[in-house]
Amino acid sequence: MLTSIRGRGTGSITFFLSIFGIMLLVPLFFVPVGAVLSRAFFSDGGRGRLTFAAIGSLLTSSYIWRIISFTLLQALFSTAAALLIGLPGAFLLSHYRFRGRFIIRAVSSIPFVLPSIIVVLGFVVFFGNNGYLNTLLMQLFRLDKPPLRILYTFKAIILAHGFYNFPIVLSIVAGYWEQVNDNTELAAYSLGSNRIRTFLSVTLPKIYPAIFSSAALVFLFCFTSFAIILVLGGGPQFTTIEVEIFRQARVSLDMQSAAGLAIISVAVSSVILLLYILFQSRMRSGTAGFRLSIPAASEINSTPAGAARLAIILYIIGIIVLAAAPIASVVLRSFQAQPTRGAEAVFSLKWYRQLFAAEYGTISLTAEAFKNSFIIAVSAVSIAIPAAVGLSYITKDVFPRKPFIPELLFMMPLAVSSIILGLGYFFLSSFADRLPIDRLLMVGAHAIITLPFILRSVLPALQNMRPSYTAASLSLGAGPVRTFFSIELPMLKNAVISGAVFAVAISLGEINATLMLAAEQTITIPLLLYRLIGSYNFYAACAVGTLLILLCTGLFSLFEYLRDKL
Amino acid sequence: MKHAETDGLEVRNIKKLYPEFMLDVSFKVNPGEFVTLVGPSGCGKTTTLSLIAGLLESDEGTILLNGSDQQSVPVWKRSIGIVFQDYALFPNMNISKNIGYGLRARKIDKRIIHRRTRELLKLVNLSNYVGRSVSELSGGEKQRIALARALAPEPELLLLDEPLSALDAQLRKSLRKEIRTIQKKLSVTTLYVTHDQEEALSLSDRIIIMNNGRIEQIGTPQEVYTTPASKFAAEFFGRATLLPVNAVSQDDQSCRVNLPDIKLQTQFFCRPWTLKQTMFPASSCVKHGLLFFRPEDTAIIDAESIMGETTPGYNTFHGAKVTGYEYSGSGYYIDALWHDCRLSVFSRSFLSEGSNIAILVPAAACCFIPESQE
Repeated sequence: MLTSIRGRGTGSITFFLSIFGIMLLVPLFFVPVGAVLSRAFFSDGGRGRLTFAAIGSLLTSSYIWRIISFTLLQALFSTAAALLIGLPGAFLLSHYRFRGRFIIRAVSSIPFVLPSIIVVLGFVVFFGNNGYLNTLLMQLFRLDKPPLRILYTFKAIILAHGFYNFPIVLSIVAGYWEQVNDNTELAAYSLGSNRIRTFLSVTLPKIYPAIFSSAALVFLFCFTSFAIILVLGGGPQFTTIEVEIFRQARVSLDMQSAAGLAIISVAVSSVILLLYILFQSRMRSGTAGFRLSIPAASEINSTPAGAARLAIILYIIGIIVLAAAPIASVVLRSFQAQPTRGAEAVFSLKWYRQLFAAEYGTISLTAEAFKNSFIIAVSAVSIAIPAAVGLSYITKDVFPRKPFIPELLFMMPLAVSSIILGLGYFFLSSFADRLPIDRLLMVGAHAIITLPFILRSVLPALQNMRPSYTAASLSLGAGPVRTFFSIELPMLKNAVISGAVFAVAISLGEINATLMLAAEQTITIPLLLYRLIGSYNFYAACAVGTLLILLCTGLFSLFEYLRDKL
Repeated sequence: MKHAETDGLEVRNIKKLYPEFMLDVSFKVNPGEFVTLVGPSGCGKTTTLSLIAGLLESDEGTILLNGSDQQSVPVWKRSIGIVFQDYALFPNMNISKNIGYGLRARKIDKRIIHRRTRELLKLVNLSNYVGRSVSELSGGEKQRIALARALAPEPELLLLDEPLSALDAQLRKSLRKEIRTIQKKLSVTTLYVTHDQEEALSLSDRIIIMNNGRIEQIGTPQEVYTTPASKFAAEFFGRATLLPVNAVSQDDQSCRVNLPDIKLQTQFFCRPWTLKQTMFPASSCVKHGLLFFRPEDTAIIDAESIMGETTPGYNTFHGAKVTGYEYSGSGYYIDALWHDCRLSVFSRSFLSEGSNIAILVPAAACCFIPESQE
């Protein structure tokens, strides 16, 4: 059977896209990041002599070591939390057919499509001292003080990270588990192995690439997490490397230390990213053998009974409380207002009226923020899509045997936090003598930040595309360009769309690089939210949050609809 | 339809080098001929096909299609239709769009495409399938549509890459007949790849047996079955007896061979062999080789009735012992042991293990396979 077409693939057009991808990555990612990292080695704003003193002093500072170990520790705990929430769901989804499946899928897609700033807001409104959960508990048990004090603690960070990232575990592991389900467990049982032994010796060795791959990704996100730490941690004892980079660069204006920290951050996350990519390729070779095999006989796809049914019900309740309730709280709170201080909240549209009141020329600040965010997101993703497709072709065609080398390079924006990227742009724009190019730079930064998410979706689809489709088209007389547009692109369509949806959501919620780049007068949705939360105006923040939720879910549904129609 | 007058496909010393594998082949497919490339998986069949189609580039050699050198012609400009093992029907197009794809790529008038699509659907007996989607089709139907699609642009050469291997046995048999009928009707020059020897024997005008990147034998189905050029070719097409022998003498009527074991003075007769039979350079004074015959050509007689006798025109194996059997429906394939040599024979009636038998094989059914001198 035909397995590859070398040399005479879809040539020119993919070559053009590949060049476009590289042209995007080099000046907008590698150069600015390189500029930041190189600052660590030069004193005097990059013009001085080469010195390792800055790195040296960072590595001997006990303050910095405390930050590094805290960053690693919170990422580790957060990953464990995400695994703890995600794995049971992955088991249930991959082993049973039940009516509540769509609830699990829908609820777990909430954090997927919503920006982290909304998650933060939801946590404050639901788990906060005056949040819905505490209010409910106080009323139920007639308490004077809120019983749960988790906000602004280590627990809050872990919980928020766990909630925000468990869908990654759920989707990666469930998808993989479903594909590698076969009769090996039954064979083990028939040979006298009990459930625990079978799980440890047969199931776990089969699914571990998916577990590790999702864990690596979650760890990476938590390691470079910014908004959640900044808002939910809220104190110097919960400072991570990213928060410290931000503080050094924008508050203390110590660029050399910021750059030194950036090197440490990039070094750690590159290793994690490499692990993620290697486990991903292990997953691909893991499923390759199963693609043509017969589905497993019993157990799988069965209707749950007894203990399994109970587990499913408990799990659904659990993730609704954890994932859906904070989001629902945001929506609910946005429609409430206290007539007087300390009074019972009543239904009100006050915040929405306030948001759209004219106070920013002819257009209100909120409308301006939505307009800006929308334009940035759409422009950034329209640039990132062709680049991601081009880079996927490079990975597949140029390095068919060692795809992890280009993959690591192209996925690097995932390992470099957007704080560092933003810092890079900040440096470069200072060379440009503060030209009013901050919006242009924001589009560039968002394109780079969203690129890996589209790549992550398109590359596996391209690698799994049977080469015989391309070969058939070419042999029927269609040239490379026609073959690309009429055969290959339509087959990558779903991957491109789902990557793009995710990318738009990421861009709409992007705050890190935006905080670094935005000029005073430029406002975006997350910036508006950040300001409102910062001034403890949670009601108004919830109203903005609700509009953002509406926008994200609206876009998500539109794309889901398009996926079937296109 | 353009075909037949020119000179078909010629593959001249095509070489493709891989780290652990080298392909080196030369052969011809005459206009309108149906030739099958057969061999075990990994022998280089599909690589050969990909080189001809232009999906791979060869390191050396020439490929001529109807006289024109294909080397610098890109895939999409070669007039070659391919049918793939996995059908490769475009899932984003319905059946008619799939069949018309090659014609649209050539910017042919819509009405002509429409007419041609209907013609082809009729040809593959799926006339009422016009607007159906690919996902509604069964495996066999998909492969017929794939054949129709490949034939639509009237290619000068049709390549089929194990087109039936994903189908069940019954369907394979009926569909291969259909493929052959359509191929004859259009008399399109065809190269067919399979690892199934039965398929190769039943379909082909000629068969090319490949092994490890090289051609072992080229011949008609009858030739490769009854006069294999090598041990590999003999064993590839089913059960066979292969005894190591030395050639003693040869004339127009027969070739005489004897066993290397001096204690066994028996001489055997077989058809005279020719240099044409072998794929390797051999001189006519070859000594070592194999005595070959198929089990269907043997007859079993009661051991005691012809004790020590010989029958003119026949080779006789006295004192063989049955060591095992396999029932095939029409009879029994018997494994027998004769002086440490394994023989494969056929019997209509049952013979229990341990029975003493004598085996008769007509000299005309035996052939001498000279040993490769490499």
